Amino acid sequence: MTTRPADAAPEERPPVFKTWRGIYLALLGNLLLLIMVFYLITKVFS
Amino acid sequence: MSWIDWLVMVGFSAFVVLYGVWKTRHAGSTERYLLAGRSTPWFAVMLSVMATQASAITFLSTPGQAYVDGMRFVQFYLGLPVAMIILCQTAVPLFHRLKVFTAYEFLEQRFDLKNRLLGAFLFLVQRGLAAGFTILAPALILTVLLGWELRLTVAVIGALVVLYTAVGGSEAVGKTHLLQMAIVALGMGLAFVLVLCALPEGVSGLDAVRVAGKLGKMNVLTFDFDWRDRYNFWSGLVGGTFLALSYFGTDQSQVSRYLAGRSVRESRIGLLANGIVKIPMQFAILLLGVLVFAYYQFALPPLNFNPGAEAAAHAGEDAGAYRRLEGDFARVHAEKQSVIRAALAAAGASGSVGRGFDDDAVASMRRLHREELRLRSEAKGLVRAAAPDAAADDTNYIFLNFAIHVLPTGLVGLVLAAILAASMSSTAAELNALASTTVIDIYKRLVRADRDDRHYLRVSRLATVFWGLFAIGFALFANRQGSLIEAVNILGSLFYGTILGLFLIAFFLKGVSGTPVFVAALAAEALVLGCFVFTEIPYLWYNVIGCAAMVLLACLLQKALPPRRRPPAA
Repeated sequence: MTTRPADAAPEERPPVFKTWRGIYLALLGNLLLLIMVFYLITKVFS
Repeated sequence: MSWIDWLVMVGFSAFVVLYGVWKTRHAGSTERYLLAGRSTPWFAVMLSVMATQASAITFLSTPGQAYVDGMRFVQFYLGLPVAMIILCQTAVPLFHRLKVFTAYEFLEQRFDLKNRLLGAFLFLVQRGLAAGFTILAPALILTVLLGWELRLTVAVIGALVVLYTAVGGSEAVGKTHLLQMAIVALGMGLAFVLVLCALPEGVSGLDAVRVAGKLGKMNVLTFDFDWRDRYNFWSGLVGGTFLALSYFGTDQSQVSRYLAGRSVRESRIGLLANGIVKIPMQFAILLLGVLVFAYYQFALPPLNFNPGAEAAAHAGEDAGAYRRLEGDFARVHAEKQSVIRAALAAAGASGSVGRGFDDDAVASMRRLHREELRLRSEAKGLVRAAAPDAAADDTNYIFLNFAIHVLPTGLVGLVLAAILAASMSSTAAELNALASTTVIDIYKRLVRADRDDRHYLRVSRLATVFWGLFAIGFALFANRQGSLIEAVNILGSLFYGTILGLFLIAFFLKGVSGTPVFVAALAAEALVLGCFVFTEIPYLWYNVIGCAAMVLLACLLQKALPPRRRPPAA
């Protein structure tokens, strides 16, 4: 991969989190949470 | 449809078109026309990405999909957030840094011209055809609603989109996306509330979902792995990641949306926000379909939701048999309704917190539901016999039919405006991307490389009109498909695996050169088409198969090639 290091330039810093990796982990956490909610919905209503 | 509905629908649609034309009538350069001058903030990138993906098909077909097949279609989107992360770390910074107009320009920089042209060609074929579907979907609605001639309706909707897209290009697409998403959110949100209000007295939204759940519609996640099963957790997570990677990373209709971002940061945030919002949005639309299903447990639905199909069956040779089926269906439905009402009353009287249904009642509900499905299936057979041209599969008509007959005056117009807005938003982005690829990757690269910017701007407008006409033409011949949303995704999956393989090798396998990649791409595409024609593998896996075959073959061919000779030093 030939991209620059993601967190190098100050203007490219992400909002809220200090690094892009933090945002990516938050997004994966959100996905995990949704999967758990969907699993519960399936169990409760089916 | 009342004049108020007409006013709402025409008013909203005309405002969007006129706004798009007026605000962007002075697109002065090719960069502004094709990429909105690379000046879009993150929230506009997010809305534009979402509006491009969520066509009218999403809002028409998805509730019907839930009505027929339950909530499990949401699993299709589980891979999307993963794909967003991968793209934010790879494609977004790279495309921005190279300042490319299209994703396929990068392929020439990395490999050679033939691979760029192959990527562009595969995109033009599949996206050109898909654009036809996105015009067709709202045309089907208006045909059913107003009895208009389908071809005329397709032409009018297509012409409206072509008008503002050809005038304002990417800037018009982006600016109208904001308005269109607002209309869509308003229309679908109000529809959701009114479905709940339409439930019979004493039946809450939770009761409705519980009944739907007992009849198999709350199957949000299914972990059982089965190759033949189209939507399960594994196909959604693995196949869905590959499909989303391919769609957002290599499909110019999406790449152009985030290339229009004013920086890498804005493009990244836009894509990641899409990764957060998309799954809950699809869940809500599917839940709308489940609530419509629940509503029809307390009101008699038509035997087939497509009024055209019903009319054909009533006029056909087997009209008597069809009427008998309608009678049987009404009888079974009434019996099921009384079982459901009794079960709800008993569960309420028992005072249990979970309001559990009695096992016998659930067994009766399911038996009667299966009987209804059998009758619906028989009715479809009679429709096909009476009118082979009519769409016997009524998935796409379910939500629309409900909206027309149940929603109040004014809201029908708003829902229709939302569906039209969604259709125009995705079609406009598609036409703009098709024009970009045609002009940048084909015309400017192969035909005329030395003209001034005004010339390419003019050709871009002409290319937009050409692809608009192509999409309209295709829409005229594609009206007998089943679920439209599935048809579009199947079409994309036939090509996306190969295109994704092309880009993955370009990004990550530096040792593989252009010719092995090109040969491997042709072979992988043949393999995917072979899977489609000769096997029953569900389409989400085509993305994985095409991509894996492409990468593997390219690596093998690269190894088999003799090492390239270096020119002798002078």
